[in-house]
Amino acid sequence: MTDFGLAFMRRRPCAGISVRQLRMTGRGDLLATGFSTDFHPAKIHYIEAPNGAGKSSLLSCLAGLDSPGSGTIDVQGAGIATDDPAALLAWLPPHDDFPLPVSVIDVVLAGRWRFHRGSPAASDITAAIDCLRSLGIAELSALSVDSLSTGQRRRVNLARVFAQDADVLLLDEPFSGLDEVAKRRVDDCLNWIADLGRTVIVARPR
Amino acid sequence: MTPELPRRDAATTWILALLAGATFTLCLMSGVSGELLEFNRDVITNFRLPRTTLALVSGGLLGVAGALTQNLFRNPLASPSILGVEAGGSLAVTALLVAGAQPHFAPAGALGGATAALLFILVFSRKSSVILGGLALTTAAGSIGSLLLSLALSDPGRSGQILQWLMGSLAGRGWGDLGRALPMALAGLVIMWRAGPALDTMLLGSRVARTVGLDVTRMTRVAVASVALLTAAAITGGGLLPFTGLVAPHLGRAMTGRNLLPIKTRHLCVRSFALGAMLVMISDLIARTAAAPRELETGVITGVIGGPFFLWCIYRDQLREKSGAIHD
Repeated sequence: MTDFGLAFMRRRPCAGISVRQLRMTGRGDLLATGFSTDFHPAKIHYIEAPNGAGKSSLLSCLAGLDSPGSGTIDVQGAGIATDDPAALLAWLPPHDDFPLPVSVIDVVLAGRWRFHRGSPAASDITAAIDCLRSLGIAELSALSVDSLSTGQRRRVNLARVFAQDADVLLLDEPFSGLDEVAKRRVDDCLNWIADLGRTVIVARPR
Repeated sequence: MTPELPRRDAATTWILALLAGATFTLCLMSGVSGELLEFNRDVITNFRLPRTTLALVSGGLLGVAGALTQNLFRNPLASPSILGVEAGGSLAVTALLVAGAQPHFAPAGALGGATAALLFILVFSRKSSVILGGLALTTAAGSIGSLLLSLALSDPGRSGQILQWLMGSLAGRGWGDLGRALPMALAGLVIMWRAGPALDTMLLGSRVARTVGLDVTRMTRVAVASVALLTAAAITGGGLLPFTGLVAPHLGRAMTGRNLLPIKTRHLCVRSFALGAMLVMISDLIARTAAAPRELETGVITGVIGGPFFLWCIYRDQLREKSGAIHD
């Protein structure tokens, strides 16, 4: 496998997630009867279901953004040494929503917030550029997101998730709007990241 | 090795600051006598200097408050006047004055009213458009303000005082008003500066901001406090100056060249201060010279300039949405 240049991402023991009897009424079939599964580290898990099945609801529950009606979500792992949610969970929203102009590099640097707290260091900028390069869009770094196409914005947002370097990547339809070449590229990146021990959870339509 | 990033556009910001300084000087030197630049020491120090300084400060603060509001609510059409924050602040001041309070309680009233309005909008924003919430708030506050004013009409002195507030007139204001506004202004600006980087991250949306590790609840409170302080300071200094907070950040953002990175919140706030200050200083110059010897209200002039600008913003946003659909 080629080097994706995600040099800042080190192999480490990562957290997985175990879900028990997760239930949310009115959020689709997936969560209607109680959803249980284990998401293990160093693997890519695909949640494939038709539209409206509740994939996004499940992912936003896992990300800690919504609280489920009932059930438990346990983020756990052998070597995890942090209780910082941002170090454990990174989330790609289902849509890329940028109502005001912001530059590509600033979006990706926002993913590094837990490292720089508002004043990015050189290492943060290098990491951000690495993420863009791994997705084949390094040349966009100085542009404003309003000038990008749907697929380019999708990859910028994905680069932001990579930059966070969390244990678990919760990706809500990362392939939407991408052409075949870009899809393969994202696929390669996800394999690379899972090989480094991360738990990758991908929701996509069936 | 750190990769080279293109620079942010600092030159434009410096030019705007210089232009604001030039406008300040022009306003000091200009009067009704017909000569463009007249120099009369007494008139300048006792009359134009305090008044133009008030215009500079009120306009600048509203510009900054507008920039923060737009970033906080992620809405390019938001501003203290459109969200009803100015209306809430001025209604509270009106109520205090009608109730017989001394004018030096006005800043506290303005701050209380502005904060209440912002909290309402914040709750409203979870369910619906902030612009609609602001519309409702402005209309309601305006009606209640008129009611209070009609109650106070029997007392010409007091109703005059209230009208001056409501219409955003800088006539007859002086260093005292500036002194009352200054503590809130400084507090608001310091908070703005500290919250800048967090607000840049909040531009990605509160849910994304939460997952990258930002304390969104706390930052929202901090930003609300800053906007309330800045707006209250501006109202205390200059009364209602509608659309200033909309026009300034819009122009500030639009002035970034094509090959430069979009500017960040702090940078935008500096530009918005300069642009808001210029708008209000020029409006005030028009207000005191256009129909001389009669004075017009400064807020009326900013409203007349800002109204069409607001419409143009909506029009442009719709055009952009349409062209975006084709682009995709």
